[in-house]
Amino acid sequence: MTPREQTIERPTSVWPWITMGVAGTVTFIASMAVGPDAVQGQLSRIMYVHVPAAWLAYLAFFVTMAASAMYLWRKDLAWDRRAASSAEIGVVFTGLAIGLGMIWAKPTWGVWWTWDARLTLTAIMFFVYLGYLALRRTTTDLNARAKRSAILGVLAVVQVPLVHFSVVWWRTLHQPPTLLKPEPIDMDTSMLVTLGIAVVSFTVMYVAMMFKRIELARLEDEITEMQQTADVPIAGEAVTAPALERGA
Amino acid sequence: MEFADQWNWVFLAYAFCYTVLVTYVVSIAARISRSRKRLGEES
Repeated sequence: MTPREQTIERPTSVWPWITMGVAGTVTFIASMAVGPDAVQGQLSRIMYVHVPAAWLAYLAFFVTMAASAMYLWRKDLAWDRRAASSAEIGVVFTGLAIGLGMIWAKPTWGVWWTWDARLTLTAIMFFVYLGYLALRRTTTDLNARAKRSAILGVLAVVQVPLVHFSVVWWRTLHQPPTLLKPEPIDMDTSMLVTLGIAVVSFTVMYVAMMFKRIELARLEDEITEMQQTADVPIAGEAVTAPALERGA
Repeated sequence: MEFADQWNWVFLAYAFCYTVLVTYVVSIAARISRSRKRLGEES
């Protein structure tokens, strides 16, 4: 059996799908079971999906950076696939964090969007990583694609600390960090435990998504390789080279 | 803000979140299935 036939015949694992479903259900049940906040009331429940989504954006882009650096060092396309998979998932979770933030902002701030440092930098990060995904579509040469996107993957991660510390460095409408901060966390224990459950569940969901997204990346690379090695005339059979006159 | 209004915003947030997540996961499954089919057909 050839490696390609092995890829096609390899049974696809169902465990990542089940894990994603369980993680999503656990987050939902935990965030509906906890009591409302004394100030924000029921609106505080949005935090249990907004904060994990933002955390996963950070984690996913950090993994992209690490895998990109590994590719530049080892020149192994498996690292490129890991970097790209994590970047795509990171873009989804950044979009989710922005969308959920907007839905939370409207009833609490009175506006869907404001050009606050945190919001603006998060939007820029979202578009830079969309650019990373677009960059990967500019060539079908797997090694050139991997090298270009690995350089961007390493450089673009500088935005993660900028986004996170923007609420500390500048006076913003957005509240300071809830979890990742040097000071002790001042939150009710039941809310903190629920937020912890949501963060862990979303992280488990990210790992399960990575398994499946990497499987997809491997299949897509095999298709690209197959198309490149196929015995097809480059310009088609209808095109013939012009006859050159001698002595011209 | 009214109690019911707060729940409407929570419902909107969770509906948005889970719609995005489910759509993305289904897109991965569909792309895996399509890629396997293409590899099977072209090899």
